Amino acid sequence: MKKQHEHKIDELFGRAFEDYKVEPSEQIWENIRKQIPQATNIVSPGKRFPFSKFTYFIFSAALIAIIFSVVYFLPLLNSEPAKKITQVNSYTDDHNQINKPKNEIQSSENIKINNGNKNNLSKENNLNQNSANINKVIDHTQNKSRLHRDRQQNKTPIKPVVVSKTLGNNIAGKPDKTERNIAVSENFTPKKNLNTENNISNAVNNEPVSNNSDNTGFTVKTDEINIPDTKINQAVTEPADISKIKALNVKYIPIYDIQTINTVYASAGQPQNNLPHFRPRLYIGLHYTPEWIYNLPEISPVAEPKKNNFSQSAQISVNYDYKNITIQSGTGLSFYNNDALSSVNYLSRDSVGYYNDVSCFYYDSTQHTTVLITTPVNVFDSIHHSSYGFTRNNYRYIQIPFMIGYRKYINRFSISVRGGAGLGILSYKKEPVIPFNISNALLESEEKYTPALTKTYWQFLFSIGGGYQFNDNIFIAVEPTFKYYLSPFYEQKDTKKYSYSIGLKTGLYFRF
Amino acid sequence: MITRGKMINEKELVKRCLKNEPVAQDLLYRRYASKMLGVCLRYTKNRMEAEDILQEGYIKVFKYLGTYKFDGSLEGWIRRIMVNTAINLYKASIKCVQSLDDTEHGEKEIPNVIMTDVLSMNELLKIIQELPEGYRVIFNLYAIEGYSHKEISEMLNISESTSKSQLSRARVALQNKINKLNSVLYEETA
Repeated sequence: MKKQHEHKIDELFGRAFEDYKVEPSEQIWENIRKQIPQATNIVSPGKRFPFSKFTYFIFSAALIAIIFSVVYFLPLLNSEPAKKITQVNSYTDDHNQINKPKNEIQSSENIKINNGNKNNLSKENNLNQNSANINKVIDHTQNKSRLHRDRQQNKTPIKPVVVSKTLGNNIAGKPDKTERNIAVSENFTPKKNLNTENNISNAVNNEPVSNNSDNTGFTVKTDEINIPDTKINQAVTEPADISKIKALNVKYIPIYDIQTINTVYASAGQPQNNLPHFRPRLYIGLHYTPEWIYNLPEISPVAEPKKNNFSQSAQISVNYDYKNITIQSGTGLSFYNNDALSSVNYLSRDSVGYYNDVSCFYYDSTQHTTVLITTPVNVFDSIHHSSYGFTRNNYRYIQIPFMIGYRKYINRFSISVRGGAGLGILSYKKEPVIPFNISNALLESEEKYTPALTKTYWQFLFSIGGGYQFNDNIFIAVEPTFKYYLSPFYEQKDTKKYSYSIGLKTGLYFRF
Repeated sequence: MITRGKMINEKELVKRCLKNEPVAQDLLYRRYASKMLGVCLRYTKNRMEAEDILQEGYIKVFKYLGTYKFDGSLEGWIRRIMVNTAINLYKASIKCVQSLDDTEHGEKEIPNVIMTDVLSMNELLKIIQELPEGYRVIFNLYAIEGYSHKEISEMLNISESTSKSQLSRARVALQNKINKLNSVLYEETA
């Protein structure tokens, strides 16, 4: 826009007014200030959304990843027949109703052992072991109340029968006796060896049992569980009495990872406690984590502000368990506040002294002196000032953790140990300046003494947690966590301090 | 340990103003207000009118601050708003009074005079403010702001030749006023 002046007049005025300044009256700013709030709101593009576009992008990406994971893994989970079989779990004294879940039980026929292709046996066994594992479970709570009522009414409870069978051949083609599984049925007394899956199914369905042995690898072994009916009844009717159950040589295991909680799982021989957890499991977790950060730099030379080490975060996680290995990732927001020290430098027009203004004088003839009549007049000058204060800064980080670890189930409880890495990306910050409301003063600059927070950081994550499963789909977990910042949390030029934090991660998990 | 001691830069200042931080808005106003009033004074007859333009201009600044894309200096952006506000005021006034597009075209040649430094800023401002409104606006836009005649013609909806003739007349008028002032000063000093 600036161009060479082509005329002397232009040059004169151009130069004269190039940096021409006139101080406006204070009233102008007061008038403008009254109209600013509604004016700024009209054009502020960021006001419509509470988070930045980057935050929305990250969350969208995470949501897509979660949806993709669900779509990809869910069919795998649903393909397991075990889920169907666990539908057969309600106790009843109505024989017709016992047969009601026949369809589901029949689904155990999915466990087809191909004699001609024994190499596939072990794979198929692994896949289907849960289905064979629980052919019949009896609802504990229902049992307890129902059987108690039956006793009151002098009714004879249905006799549950425990059947143990091995699951196919091992690689060598021999029956794998280490994988024993259970079928429980009413009115079935196992006196003979049962060899086929159909026999088990028939047994469960209260049908006659053949004594065939067809070398399919399925062998129902009854010799180990030849328990008197009365004892079996006792075991079932008083399932909480573990000592009695042990005396009966009947294992009593509450199944907590299937659909029905509080079930009795009667077994002979050596049941595998962790069998129900060997299948892959995908679940979503919602977390809240308060944490306290230590080894922070000195962020104020004047006074150590308080509450600078607390952070809290909310996360959504995708979890995948296979056997005892657990993998966790997801995304979340971490909120951190600090009290930052800053100063404002301003110019104000202050009195720096006074002088006596001579308004008039006269000659005193009696004293022979000149008398001055003066008025003191204040002298003002622009004085530089600095004002210090603390402001509350707000920061928001997007967190993306990735952890892998080990989870051990003990009945409804589980413990886990996890380690991994986490990425934090600064998505929002609010660093207000010190409120400056001094009239007739000109704000010159501001200085911040508190270092800025890093825009991205990597963390080493470690946690030890405990969980409790309410039912097949929901469980909670509490995990004390330790995080070590692999890069300084505060940006510092002179020294680098690597912070660490200790927190308590709480989680509510929903299983698909 | 001063780690971030600095003047607030324009970007941060704008960002904070958009968050309705009063201190930032105050700072934005005070940083440029005196300079902008200097601009406004050149386009008006008196200080009262100039302060009205300043006020109206700053309200626009805060209203449209979100549209500022940092592709030029913030001062330049605010300055353009002030000039546009002044032009709008001028346009509104000529609608009622007269048409600027007069029939007399062509520049009058005026001699390039050698100026002295005797005239104060107040006197120069007074000279400009005493110009007819049309002359004043065009002279300001062309000689001080640096707009071309084409740009001025588009801004004021006049022809380029009108802009040129108005500028020429403004120069003559200014020269006459300066000569007059110089002669008065010469007489006083003599």
